[in-house]
This record gives sequence, C-alpha cells and structure tokens, in this order.
Amino acid sequence: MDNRFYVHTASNLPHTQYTSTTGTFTATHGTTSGSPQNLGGWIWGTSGAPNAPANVYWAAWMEWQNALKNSNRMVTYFQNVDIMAFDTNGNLSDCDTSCARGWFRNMTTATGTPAWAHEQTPTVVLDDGTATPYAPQARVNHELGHIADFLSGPNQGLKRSTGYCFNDASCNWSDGSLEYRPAALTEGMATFIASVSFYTEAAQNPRTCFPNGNDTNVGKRHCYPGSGGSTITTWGLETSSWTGAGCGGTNGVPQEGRQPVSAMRFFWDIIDSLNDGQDDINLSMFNIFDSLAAWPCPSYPACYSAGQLHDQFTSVNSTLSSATNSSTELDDGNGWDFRNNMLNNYSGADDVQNAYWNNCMGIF
Amino acid sequence: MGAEAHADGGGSETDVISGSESSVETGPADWRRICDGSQDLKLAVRRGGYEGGNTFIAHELGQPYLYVRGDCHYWTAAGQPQNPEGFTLNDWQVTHAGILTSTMEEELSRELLYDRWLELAGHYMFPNPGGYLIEYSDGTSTIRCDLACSSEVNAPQELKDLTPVVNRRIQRLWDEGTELDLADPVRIDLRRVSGARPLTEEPCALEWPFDLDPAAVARDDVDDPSSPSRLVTDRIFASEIRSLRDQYLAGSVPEGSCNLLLEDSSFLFYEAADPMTVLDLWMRDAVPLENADGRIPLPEPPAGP
Repeated sequence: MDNRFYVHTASNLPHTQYTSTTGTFTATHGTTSGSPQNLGGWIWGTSGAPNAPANVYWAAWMEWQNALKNSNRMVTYFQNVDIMAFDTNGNLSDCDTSCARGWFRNMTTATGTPAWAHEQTPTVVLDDGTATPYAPQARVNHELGHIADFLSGPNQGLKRSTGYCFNDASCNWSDGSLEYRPAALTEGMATFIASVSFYTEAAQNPRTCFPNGNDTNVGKRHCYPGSGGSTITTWGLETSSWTGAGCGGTNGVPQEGRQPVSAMRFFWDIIDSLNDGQDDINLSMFNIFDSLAAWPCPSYPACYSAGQLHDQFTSVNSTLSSATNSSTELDDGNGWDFRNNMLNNYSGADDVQNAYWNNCMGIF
Repeated sequence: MGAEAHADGGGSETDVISGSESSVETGPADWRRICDGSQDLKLAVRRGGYEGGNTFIAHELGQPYLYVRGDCHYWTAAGQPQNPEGFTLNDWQVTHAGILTSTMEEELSRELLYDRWLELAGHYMFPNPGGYLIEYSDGTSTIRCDLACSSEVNAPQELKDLTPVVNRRIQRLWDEGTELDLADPVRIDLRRVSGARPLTEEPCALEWPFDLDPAAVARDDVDDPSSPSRLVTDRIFASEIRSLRDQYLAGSVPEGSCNLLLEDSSFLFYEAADPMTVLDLWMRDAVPLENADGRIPLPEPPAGP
C-alpha cells in the first residue's frame, strides 16, 4: 500500500501470517509491469469466521483511496502510519477505546516514545473490543482521521483538544455529547474524514454510528436508519436540527455547537455537492487539509513553543494547563477559528460561514 | 452471588472493623487512614474518558473503578470479561464488593500514596484526541491525569508509576471481593424503538420475561446515548436480570438462541403483544454511593499543579 500504513499486532504479540481464502490461480506468461495479470478479487476470512486484521486493512485502504489521496499534503506526509491491532485488555493503558498518536511522528525514545510504539511514527492503537474490527467509521477510520488532521497542521503537527470534561463527570464523549468546542471540532473532524471513506460527496444520507459489523443482530451491523429494527443510535451528517425550527428552536439542541456531530455536519457541508438548504459551498478534501496547514502560529492555540499546551513537537506537557481553566481558553481553537483561518489565512480564501451557522455551530 | 454478600453490596461480616479503629483518621506516622466510620466517599480511583459506543452505562462510574466508603466498604469493577475469541466486552462489567480489613486498608493507603493526594491534587492535562483519564479522590482533593498518566503527560513521576500499581490493586480487591446480592439495585439503559420486522423472527431476541413494565423504565431520549441510566430497585427484577446477565456472560444460552452479550451487545427483548417494538437493554450493578443520575461526582481538581 505504498507505505501509507502498516497493520501490526499490539502488545508485543508475534506477527501472524494470514492466508487468503481465495482459491489458487495460475500465473500466465507475458505478465509485465505494464500489462499485469488480473487475479480477480482476493478474500480473507469468511462471513462466518471474519478476519479482523483484514477488515481493518480494508477500512484503512478505503480511507486512503477516498478521503486522503486527493490531497498533495497527505500524499507527502501521510506515510508509515502504524495501526496496532488489537490491544489486549488495556496493556497500552492510555488507549482504552482506541486512540491516535500523531505526535509520535515527532518523538524518539529519548523524548518519550513509549516502549510499545516505534520512534518517529504516527501511531493508531485499536482496542480489543469485539466491535472494534467491524466498526471502521468509529474506530480505525476515525483514528486515522485524527492522524490526517494532525499531519495537515503547520509543520505537520496540530493538536487542539482541551479535554473532554465540559459537563460530564466521567469525561466521556460521544457523537452527541456536549464538549469544549475544540474537542468537539477535533472529534468531529476525525469522524468526518472517516465518513468520506464510505460516502461520496453526492450521498443523499451519509450517516455515522458505532456499529458492530460482526453482530448477530442485523440492525447493529451498520448505520443505516430503520434497517432490521436497528437499535443503535445513528446520526445523519447532512442535516442538523436547523430544519424547520432554526438552531436552538423547537427541534434544536441547546448548545448544539458543542456536539461533535455538529462539527461533522459542518465539515460535510463544506465538501458535499448537495445543497440541503444549509450550505452553498462545495470544496474538496484537499482544501480542508491545506487550510489546516495555514493555522497561524502562535495566535491560534497550535504551534506554541516547546512545552506549551499545543506544542506538537515533544511530549512535554503544557505550562499553560493552569491557565486553561478559563472557559474562554478552553474553547479556543473552535469551529469559528476554523472558518476564520480558512477565509483569512488560507490562499483559497473560502468563506464557510453559512455551513458554520446553519449547522448550529454558533450555539454553544 | 457471594454467599455472604450484604443487601447493600457489602461483603463478609467477618471483617467488620470496630468503631474505635474505623474512627481514626490518621494511621501511624507514615500512612493515612482511609476509613473513618462515616458513610462518605473516602477513596475513589477510576479510569474514564471513553469514546461512546452504543451505551455509556458501563462507563458511568469508570472502568475499572474502586470506591471506598468511610465504613471501609468498597465496590470495585476490574477488567472487563472476554468472549471465547479473546475480545473484550467493553460494555459489560461485574461489580464486586467487600470490606477492607485493617491490613488491607494500610496496604491500599501506602500503595496509592493516599497521604499525598492533597499535595498532588491537580489536572495534569494533555491536548490529545481521546480523553482517557485516571482520577484519584479522597472526597475532598482530586487528582486528574490525562492519558492515564502515561509518559506523555507532564505529571510527577510518582503518579505515572502509580497507574500499573492501581490496576493490580483493583484486580486484587475485585478477586478478594464478592459479587453483589442478586437482588441488589441495578441500573439499566432500556430503549424502545420500532423494529422493521417482528422480533419473533429475530433469533437473538427474547420475549420480555419480567413483571416490570418496560415503559416505566425506558429511556426518555432514545437518540442520546449519554442520557442517564435508570435505577431499578425492584428486587425481583434485579434478581432476574442479574441472573440472566451472569448466565449469558458465562456463555450459557437456550438452545437455538444466540448470545448477544458475548458480541458486546445488549439484550434484545420484545413484548408478546407488541413484537414490532424492540426493547434494547443494557445493565450494570448499582453502587450505593451513586447519585440519581448514576454518577459519583468527584470534586474538581484545582486549576493546575
């Protein structure tokens, strides 16, 4: 796969060789690099005994093909990403439900790369939950979305989250939870990129959820609404609560701009070709990645110098952490900053404010 | 069920600490007592910051977690169960309870640096995608550490070193504790949603076997996966649903049925009179220290170390 990503075992387990379940083939004479022999489809695992790593590989391939490779920035920087699957019972103790560590790209053992990771390598860890191999949008693609988001930043490094404890004692987050605005933007960006792996820009009803493709209940195998008595919560990416009532109106969600799903919808409306009444713009994925590269340093809370909150080059934590308990700073690096950056700092000078307002990003 | 478990989730009575012992707040010179005989939260250690899946019910109290009350009763959930393929069931966990002996209390206090929590209180942040935390609190002072206090976080080394110690200690206390009484309160997350076909045709669905009216305990907002779970104190229902959970987690299902729990999924029920409505049910053990929303709030850590 052109060294874009590698699927590894985690926790120092030995590597495993998987054998395709496709039958044998006969090599033909005359095969050249310019005229390769078509071997047809290859299959790993069966419907009754699916191959978990193969599912992860397929999903990552989809993301590269459909979401990333049309960006020169990704072609240049999205390389040698480690996907460590699957962490066995929390041995990688800071990645309980999967995680992304883009900044490992900038770290060595001397500067803090953990023993379980490779030096100077963007890294995704997938947990060993039963659904993880079969929930690509919410797991491997989401985490790779974080990697792409990080690598698109100035000097190939962008972190913007300020934590997940906005109003939740357990500090959990979900598509519909209320978060500090940069956390919502970051998680929304990651799932948005994941969604582009599976939906074209003309999709009528792109959706996201946490499915389990291996579930015996058909309703839990995917995110399609109303199928098989689905009992999972699925989120449409095309429309917001704006419909009919306006943000915060009858159908609105108080503080909807703090929901990660609002950021997903905001980004979706920037790149989709449908005008659902919420947006009037149709950009490409590379516009988003290139605009992220234009974050000003240090006026936006990325690119601070070493050791500060949004430092992306070392493992040293913020000296601003005590200051960030101001509600203003905790919300710095939000969707409006994204809009302003895209308009004022990016050479494309695109204004995405209609998508911002109409997806209720301004209600927080 | 543990043979000596209490109705409130406590463990064996043989280890009850005397009033004079448990009223002492400070131990010998080099360690600090946890138990003061009160009904207040005196020690909390929990992991949190999870990305939501289909339910937060298993993560409301942390995963894993350890809570100790002033009377030395403790409740803990250690690692999650696994299915036969070795994958972890992230949304299911079983709580164990017990009572700390004097020896256990001292070991716990020393291992977890309990006497230093006031000094170490703070939020050690890291601007990371994913918010995995570890929190320590004595009910007054709280330490919150991003990334489970991994090497990437600018926390004191003693806190970084503490995480594996905590994991081992929680596992040990879980092993030494007992399951809650079958009839102890449970928390459930029950959603009623319309199905596309009769649940009678779904081999994994079970006919609702309980007397409890599902409409009375269903979630208000079916679209919000983080909406609070419901406390159910009906002892008969609690016994039945807890027994069913334990049976399924042990891999035992009726012939011809299937085991959704070992796929880390919820129970699927339906009522005979309405087979088109799915009753999607998650559950967990309730802990007496919880508030009405099923949470055990900790004081916010100070602004910064």
